[in-house]
Amino acid sequence: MQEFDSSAFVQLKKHERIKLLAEYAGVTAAEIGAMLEITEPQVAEYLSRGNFSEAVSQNVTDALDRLLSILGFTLRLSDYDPELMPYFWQVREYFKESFEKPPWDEVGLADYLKAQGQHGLTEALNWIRRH
Amino acid sequence: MSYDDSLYEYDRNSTDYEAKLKNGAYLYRLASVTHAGMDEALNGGGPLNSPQYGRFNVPNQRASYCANNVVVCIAEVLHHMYRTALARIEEAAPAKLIRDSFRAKRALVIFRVNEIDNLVYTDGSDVKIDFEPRMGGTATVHPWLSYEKDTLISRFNNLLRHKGKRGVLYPSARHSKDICVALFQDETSRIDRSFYKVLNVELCLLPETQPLRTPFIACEPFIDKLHPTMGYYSFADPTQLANAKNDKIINPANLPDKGIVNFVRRQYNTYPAGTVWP
Repeated sequence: MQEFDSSAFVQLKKHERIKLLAEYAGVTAAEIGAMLEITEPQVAEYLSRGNFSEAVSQNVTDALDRLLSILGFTLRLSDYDPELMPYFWQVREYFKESFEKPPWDEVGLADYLKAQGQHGLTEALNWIRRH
Repeated sequence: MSYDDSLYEYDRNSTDYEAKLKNGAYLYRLASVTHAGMDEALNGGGPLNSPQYGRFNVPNQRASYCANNVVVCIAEVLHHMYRTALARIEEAAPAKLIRDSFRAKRALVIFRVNEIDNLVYTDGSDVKIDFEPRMGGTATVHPWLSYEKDTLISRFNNLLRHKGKRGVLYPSARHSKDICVALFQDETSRIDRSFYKVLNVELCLLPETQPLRTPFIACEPFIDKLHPTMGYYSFADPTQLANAKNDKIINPANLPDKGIVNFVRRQYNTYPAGTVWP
């Protein structure tokens, strides 16, 4: 059973934090590529080195930061239990009874972010910040 | 290098508003565990990527919020947890999301800055002449202030930025001791990179039946009634906190490793003993 060690986590570099939370949630490099609107090899390069060999736009850097925040939201929702993260990453209609549904609720976070790309990351994080 | 109150230069007599942080001033910030890195402490990136208004930012505007007192940070975050909990209850959010708002793992980041000048101390009475005649007194610590546009605080924020100020020193609306700091630009380069410490802290909201000086009671969101003014904090590793206190980098110096604190302003006869109830 995996355990989330927050003391160790805060010492990680940003790309290592994204990589670890993405692993917990079961998100692949190809899926992250769809969310960030970059290629899978570019994602793999960033997750292993923390930077890109060829310059990427500021939009991609901002989108990475938003992805980290959204993964963090999912971690909190999972009570910091990594094993629960895939469920909350994929669950549909979790907010069905709520008056304030997030934009991803019909299809789940995973499919919403893959389909909507950078715009979806912005919209999802905006909802999280407002609620 | 230990914590030194004289490194926060502002008029304690509340007349002049010119203020600065001197070399070696410690700043504290209770960051999310995902964004507790040195490059995230003063880049103002949270508000920059947020549609929310803050006390000194409009949506998508840089602002880094810190304090020179750890209890201020704890009280500020507890207050925001309380507001979030109420909002989620009101919105009929899923039960788990409501529970999530009752407790949080946070990272207390402790760092020193090199001089940051051109700041405004909001309690300096000259602020009324050069910036906003209605600032001062209750206006600076209004606890339920709406930050939406066309409010007093947003007008003041716009004016400060328009006049090229780098940030503000201001009293917390949640705690009556020491100061908060809001910086308007990416000030990452002002962090003294030779020192950066992160301590993990857990925060919890309390039931209104929580007695003082007794062990903390976890609040059951759908049974208990939420305490509107007090919350609980606990450092994950008391030894780390003890080491930091030995190094004299914590303000207040004798902060307990866990306790109950108010997140409304109160006057204290003893500090922090009257503030924190272990």
